[in-house]
Amino acid sequence: MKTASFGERPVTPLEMSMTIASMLIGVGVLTLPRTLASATKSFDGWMSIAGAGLIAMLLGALVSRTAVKAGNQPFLEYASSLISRPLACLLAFFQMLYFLGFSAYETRAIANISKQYLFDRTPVEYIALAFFLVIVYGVSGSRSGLLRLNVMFLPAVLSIVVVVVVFGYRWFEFGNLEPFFVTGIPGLLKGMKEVVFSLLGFEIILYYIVFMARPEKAPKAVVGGILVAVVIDLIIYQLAIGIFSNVGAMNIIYPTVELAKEIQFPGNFFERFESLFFVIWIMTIYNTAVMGFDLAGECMAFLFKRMTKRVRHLILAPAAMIICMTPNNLPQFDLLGTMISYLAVGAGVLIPCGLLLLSGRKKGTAAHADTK
Amino acid sequence: MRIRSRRRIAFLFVASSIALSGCWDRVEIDQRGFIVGVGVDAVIQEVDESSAEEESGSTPSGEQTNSASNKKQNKKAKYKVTYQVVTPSGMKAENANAQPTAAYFHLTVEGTTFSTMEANLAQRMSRAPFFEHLKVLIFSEAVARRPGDFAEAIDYFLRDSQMRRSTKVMVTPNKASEILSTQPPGERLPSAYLELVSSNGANSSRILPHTRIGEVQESLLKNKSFGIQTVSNGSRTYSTLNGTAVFSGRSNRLIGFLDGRETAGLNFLRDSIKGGHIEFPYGDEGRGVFIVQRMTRRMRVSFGKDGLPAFDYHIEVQGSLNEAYQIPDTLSEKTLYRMDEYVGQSIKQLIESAIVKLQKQYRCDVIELADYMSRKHHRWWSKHRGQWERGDDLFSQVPIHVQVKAHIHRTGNINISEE
Amino acid sequence: MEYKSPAEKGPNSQTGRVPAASLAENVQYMKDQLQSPEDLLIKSIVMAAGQKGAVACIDGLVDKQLKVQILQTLMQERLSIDSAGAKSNEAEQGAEEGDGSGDGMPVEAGKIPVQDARYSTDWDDILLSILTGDTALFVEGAKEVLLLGSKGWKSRAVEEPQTETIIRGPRDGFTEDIRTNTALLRRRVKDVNLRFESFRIGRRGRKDVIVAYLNGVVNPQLVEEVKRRITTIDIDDPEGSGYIEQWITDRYWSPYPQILNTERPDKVAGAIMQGKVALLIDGTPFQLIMPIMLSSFIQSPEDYYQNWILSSVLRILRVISAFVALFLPGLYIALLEYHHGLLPSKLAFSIAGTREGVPFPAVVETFLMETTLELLREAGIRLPKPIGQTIGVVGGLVIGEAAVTAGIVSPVMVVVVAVTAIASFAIPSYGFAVSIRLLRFGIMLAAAIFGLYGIVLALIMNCIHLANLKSFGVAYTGPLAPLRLGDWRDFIIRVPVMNMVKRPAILETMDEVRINTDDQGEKNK
Repeated sequence: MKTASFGERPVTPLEMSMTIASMLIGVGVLTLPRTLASATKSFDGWMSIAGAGLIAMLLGALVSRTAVKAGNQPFLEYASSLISRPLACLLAFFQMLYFLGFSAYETRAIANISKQYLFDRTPVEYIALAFFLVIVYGVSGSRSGLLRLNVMFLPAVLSIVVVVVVFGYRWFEFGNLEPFFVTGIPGLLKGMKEVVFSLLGFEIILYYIVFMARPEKAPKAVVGGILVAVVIDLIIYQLAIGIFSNVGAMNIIYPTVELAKEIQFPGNFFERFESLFFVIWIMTIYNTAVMGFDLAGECMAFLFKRMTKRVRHLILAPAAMIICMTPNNLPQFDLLGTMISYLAVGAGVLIPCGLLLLSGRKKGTAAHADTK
Repeated sequence: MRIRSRRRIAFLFVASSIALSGCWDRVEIDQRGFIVGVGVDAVIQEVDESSAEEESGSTPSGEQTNSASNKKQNKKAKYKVTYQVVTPSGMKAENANAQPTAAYFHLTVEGTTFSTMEANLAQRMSRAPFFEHLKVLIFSEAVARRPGDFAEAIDYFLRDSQMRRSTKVMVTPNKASEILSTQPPGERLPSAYLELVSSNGANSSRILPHTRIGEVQESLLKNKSFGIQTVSNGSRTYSTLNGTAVFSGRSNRLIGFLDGRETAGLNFLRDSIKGGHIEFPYGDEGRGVFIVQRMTRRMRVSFGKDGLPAFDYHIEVQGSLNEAYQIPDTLSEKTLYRMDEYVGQSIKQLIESAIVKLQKQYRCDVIELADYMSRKHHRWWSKHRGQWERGDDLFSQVPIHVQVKAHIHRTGNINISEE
Repeated sequence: MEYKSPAEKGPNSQTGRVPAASLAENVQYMKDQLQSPEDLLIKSIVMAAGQKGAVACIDGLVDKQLKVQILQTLMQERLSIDSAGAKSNEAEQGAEEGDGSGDGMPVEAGKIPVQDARYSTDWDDILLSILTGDTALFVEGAKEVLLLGSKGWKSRAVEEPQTETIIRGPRDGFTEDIRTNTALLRRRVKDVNLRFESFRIGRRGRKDVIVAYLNGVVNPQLVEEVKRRITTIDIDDPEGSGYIEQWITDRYWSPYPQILNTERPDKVAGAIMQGKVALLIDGTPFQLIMPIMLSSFIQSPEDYYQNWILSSVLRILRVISAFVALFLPGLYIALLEYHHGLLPSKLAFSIAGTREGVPFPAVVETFLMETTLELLREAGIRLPKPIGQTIGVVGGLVIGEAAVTAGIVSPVMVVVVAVTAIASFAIPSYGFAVSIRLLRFGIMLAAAIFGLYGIVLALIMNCIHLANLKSFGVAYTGPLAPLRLGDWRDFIIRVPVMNMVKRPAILETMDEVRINTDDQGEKNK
């Protein structure tokens, strides 16, 4: 007899891809054309994006292999079975720090942008606080609800990108893309670093894989999700360069938002398109931030097993708020972003990859070491 | 259940605290002073109080003009800025029999920085100045010519978050405040009128495609020469958009103007012709008018012995005959062919006059050859970048050849109008 | 009919009390229990065989003709009565008792010309049967009572539904009578697998509730879950479907209805065919359908009767109207109080022009007008029908016009309010329209605090709530999230009927295929 799970049916690979994609599409894309244009010349940044995309996909595949290895166990439990509990606790701590920082960073970014474009006098603190409250509301619901939220928002994000592209081409000058292939390798590598940083976040698969119906499909789903993010990066980037030219993009703080500002529908019936763009983009940034916060709570749960969810959030939310409000200006904010990115590379990517190696070795020596 | 409800109550507390302390940015829409046009004039240091008064007196009735010539400021003031503020109640089209109130008024402020001027503005207006609906930005020649001033002024209009990159920029040889006072019948806002005229390129070849402030920034960043639409002879009922203000990439300031014919030539060179009329002679007596419908431009670069690039333009224009005077049998193959020739020549003349002026007189690469070189011959360009408009001034030396082919596709409803 | 209920025994039940053999004693007991109201008719008869008996029923609940027939039969000669208790074998209780030969009911049930007749020896059962319209026959010397089905009361005829009118499609609507309703349903679903499971809920009210589903199509777990929730209902009287809906709903604090109520039999039949479960409730024309998704609210049975392009466009229109009804006043506040730059220039100037002289801030203005609108609606419902309709129009027009002339509100505001109202009427489900009306004020509040940003946050919160919401275990936001692309054939776009091959995957039905064209059938098996 068929048994129904009714919606709790674990997520499909497609939905996992969407989750990964909406994790990766965050504030990174808003500033990416600027950072990339500063690092590379002309339109050569596309190579950085492509290269970084490949690297990210490779890393994503590796990390999700680790996740697959963990099987039905939560990732951290699996890690402690490999590298003793104290070390796993350390890992959990770093990951918690990373996810919390990530969430705080995204919140600060959205507060900054809202302050820039929507508000004049409202303090950034309040904008961020309101956002945090909604995040806390989000994480206090079910976790599969969060995954569903991703699936709900992503189509809106994709369609807004399509609209930007379709109507943005009015101002597009192909000449701005030329000349091709003029950036040196160092510039490309620098650009690549920036793109890889903006593509971090796929580590969430380590935790969300438990929701998948067929975990063995996770690597494919992760790669697919990263691909979506890379394609969006590429589209936005080429549009920004084509419209603003390399120099222009370099000197605009949020080129992607300005891109949306440039858009005019034929006949001016919808003059100010950026409002809609904002709405949608806040939604996707929310997704990113709320998943970060959720996973920070998850890591904390591993550290303090007896703590209830409510207490965890009560501790984490002010901490995230403090991190969020620490930077005083844009350079400091960028610094925070870079620090979190390095933390992500360390705790979120390299260590899981290392675990993969370790598990491979362990399997060689003791066949049934971690069957429980 | 109880835990949940307690949490919700806690949430409500925080939310209401936000609600109570929120609303910093709440401003009623009718409390905004919408500024739709800004005209930047230069304050000539010697100017005395009386001339300022005189100027304010000359503004048409129905408008309020506040001459804000604060004596203290006047000493150091660089700009005299006219802000066009919308009076929304005047925008209502109803009550035809009632005395129509003006849809706008002008405020004039002098100062050195735009932010302080905005603050001054706020001191004089009951409504907070609001720039998000800024349509046009007009610089007078004097401001544009002074070194440094133009870029400085542009900075404010790009940096402030209320500004949009699509605001149109124009330069006038006259006073910017005069241009802003143009109010043709039927249009309620001069700025809106100017914005509409500025995109009339499809009807006239002599209007440069409108210049958006974002593009100006890009040009300034690239240190390249650029052209801005020129608006002139502002009178009560009309202003003319015709010609190009040439900005030099060397000094980022206005170098000179191109007149309408030269602007048409420039448009042909830059492939930005959308339409417009070309008058051409036919033989000794005849004249005709050709309407451009489509043009294609191809360009080629060849490097000469001295390593200098030479540019070849092949321009093909298609269009129709719109007016003919003393032209025999417009239906015959021969006449058509001859007309094609004449049109081509006329266009070529336009183009060459522009080239000559730009290369020899202004030495400014508004034709965007620099862009072309940097795109297609990047290696050459990176070597000679510094020599293009500065140093050896290569731009003024490069040969530019132009070939124009015109095709008249249609000759209209009649053959000839008089024998 | 077999009833299941947790509250099988009423509060005043006297468990185990059985009728006595004495007729007078029985009649007296019944009179005591019911306090011999006027509508209780007890007729003493002498049957053909000379035996004494009594017939009891409630006036108004029984079919008069049937009752006459019963009496005739009982008194006629033909009815040979076996005084020696030759009651047929079908009366088990009597057989079990078996202590006295005179205890059995001497009248054979099969000989009375009524549809259903049964024996009973339980006073609670007997009394309840009488109260539901059966006729009880007491015979001197018999401990058993024969209950004769003689239900037949005045009920409203089948009429066109009041709340959900459509242009094309059947015009019959459910009535308050559960029998009529089951009949309406049967007439549409002639499948042998259509199951009606009866429940009787409410300690005092004793409402009949029927769980209707299509066996072999519906997921059995769903049916189990529905039945489980129904059996948890322990309330004195679940009046109408609203009580039951609120009792068995997943989250009662959600503003969104998680169970659909409808007056339309075709809607219920369609839902059953899809693999959903319907609850038919006695005493109300509003029947319940579950589980539902958010998309159910933009779907109307009409969609399936019309051309698919038209109905797809209409559904898109309904989605838009839902958004308009929810967000328009909030957006008005946000744009007029915060983001004046986001309005197109000309619109901004003209709105600013019209708002000049309006004494209230846009927030107050909006709340004022929206509240007035709600007031008008509420008043319109209360008033007698002909006036009710006019008050909507007159009230709206007059108050709007007067407010504008008086300079209290701006004309744009009136437009906004009117458009919002019209948009909310375009939503096919009344329950959903009401929740949108409610949420609209929340959005307006958010907009008043944080402008567009507030609206976005409110929207996100709303979406989280929806994502967490379930209706009988089915994700409320399906088939959008969880993504079931196959279900998109009947989501916002309704594809041609030929292409709607499968039942909604999200319902996890037992029989997935709706259309068994040869090739498709093979593919799907």
